[in-house]
Amino acid sequence: MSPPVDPHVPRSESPDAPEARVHFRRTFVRVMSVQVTALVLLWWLQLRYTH
Amino acid sequence: MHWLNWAIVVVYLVYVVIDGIRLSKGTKGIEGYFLANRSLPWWAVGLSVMATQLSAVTMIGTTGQGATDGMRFVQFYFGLPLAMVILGVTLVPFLHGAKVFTAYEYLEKRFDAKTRSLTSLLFLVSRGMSCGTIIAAPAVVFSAIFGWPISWCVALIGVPTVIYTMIGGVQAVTWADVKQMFIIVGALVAIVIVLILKLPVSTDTALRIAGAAGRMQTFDFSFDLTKTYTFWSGILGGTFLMLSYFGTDQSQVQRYLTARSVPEARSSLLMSAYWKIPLQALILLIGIMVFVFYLFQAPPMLWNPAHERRVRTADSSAYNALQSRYSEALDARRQAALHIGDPSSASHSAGAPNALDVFRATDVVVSAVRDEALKSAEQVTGEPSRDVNYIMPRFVLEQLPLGLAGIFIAAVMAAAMSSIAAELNSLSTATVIDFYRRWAKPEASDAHYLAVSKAATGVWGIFACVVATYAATLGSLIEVVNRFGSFFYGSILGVFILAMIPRARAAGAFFGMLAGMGAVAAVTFGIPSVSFLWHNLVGAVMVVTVGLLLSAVGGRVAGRT
Repeated sequence: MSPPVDPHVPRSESPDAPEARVHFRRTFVRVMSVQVTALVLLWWLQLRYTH
Repeated sequence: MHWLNWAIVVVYLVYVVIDGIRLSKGTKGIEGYFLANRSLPWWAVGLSVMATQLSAVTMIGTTGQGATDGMRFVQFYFGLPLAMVILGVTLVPFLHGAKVFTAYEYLEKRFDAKTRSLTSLLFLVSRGMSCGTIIAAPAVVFSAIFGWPISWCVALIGVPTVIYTMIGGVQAVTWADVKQMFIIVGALVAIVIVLILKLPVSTDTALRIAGAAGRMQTFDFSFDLTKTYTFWSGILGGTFLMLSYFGTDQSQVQRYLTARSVPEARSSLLMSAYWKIPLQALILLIGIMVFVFYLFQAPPMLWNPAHERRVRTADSSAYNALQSRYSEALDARRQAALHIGDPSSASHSAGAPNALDVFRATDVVVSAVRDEALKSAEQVTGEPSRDVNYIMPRFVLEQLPLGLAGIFIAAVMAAAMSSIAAELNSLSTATVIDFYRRWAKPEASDAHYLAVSKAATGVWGIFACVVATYAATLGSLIEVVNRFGSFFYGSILGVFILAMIPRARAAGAFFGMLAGMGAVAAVTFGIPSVSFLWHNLVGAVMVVTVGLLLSAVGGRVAGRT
């Protein structure tokens, strides 16, 4: 038997809604793209200037 | 400092206070005072989140760290973007949707009153003390540079902040943060431009020299749990640290609770996800450029002018002997640095030692002499030198053109004030909502709670100023409190993770939190030794594991009876 769900626990706004999933995926890809670009740039600076 | 620079600082301080009072006119009731009636646009909240994280320590200490240690420190922030995305889909909708004033209030709705009160109390103790240290850091530097008593410097930063935070509430704090963020970024960009113009070599050569001195080394891929700044500690430990800080610390949570909606709250956090790493890299790069600048212009042996005076007075002949060795080492290093940028130099000919190797050898000699000076400063003064914090202020005051030094000092104050204001506002919120309204006076008018909230902000402001004034003498106590604070950061995150798991029970959360704090205390004191960036991960995992086990056992016992 599954445990009772606490009525005080607020549900996140429809986490399973398809548009929420699409929005999250898009945001995640954007943020990670910027993150990877920043890391690649720092890596390039290190390679170019550290001997 | 020139009167024009002081005029800029005074105009800034007066403007911040007047603007805070002007914004207070729209604040009626505690919902407006603490949460701006949940009406703020995402970009203002996002800038406020970023300004709160940028303290005076960032402006002074991080640039100094860039000058002495290079880019390594940026690894600390590698986990931040991922943490922001995770929070955007987990805690932000829960907390915003629960319509709470404090993150801890939500824990009572989910678990029980004792879990709420304990987490809120831990927040009050650690943040109350850390607020004092945030004021103390720039105050100590200003005191040494300008020769003023420390209490004046504390008052200069603390009093205007307390006034506008107390009167204006979160509206004043957020909109002041927005303006302060523009001042901070403007000052940083102006310094970059001045540095590029002042360097006697091209930017490319400057970076090559910095690279030769090891300052451009960003990544450390070694998996060593005792090392603080590595790629892995940043990505894994850093993610949990940022989840704890942005997800459970009221000073941050309260920023995004003021947003109009959940999507706007998410967007405000994503602003940090996009900009934090580039901004920190820029700040460290400024420090690196300052290091290169002082290769061509003789830097002081000790950057802290107060320590320099005391060491010189204590034993002038020994100091002068050290100074002359330092000057010789600097000359040799300057010549070596010039050869790196000069293709026609003799060192580029066949058989001559490599210019970069020569430069590295001379840099080692300079560092060795400076280490001797730092040791004698610590012996004479009996204080840790923290000399790195004086590099940027002295560069600014001695090298920047008229007016820009004033803008930088105003930016340092802006950075300090934005952090202090957010903390005072959140301390007042937790005091009134989690203790006064919850335990002392549950029924009263909104006007009564508003008056108590303003008084609480004022009391916390005075407390922070007193702690800051005696920070030097309270040094070890503050360190103990800060260390104590790190015990429960990850543990509180663990409790919030449990809150999102339906099968978790109140007893599991409470005792899980105690177990998490115990585990972090163990690794802090070296059983086994683990660097602080990993502590939050240890705490959170322990709380969730123990919390779920106890909840399962409790559930079975309840099922049998």
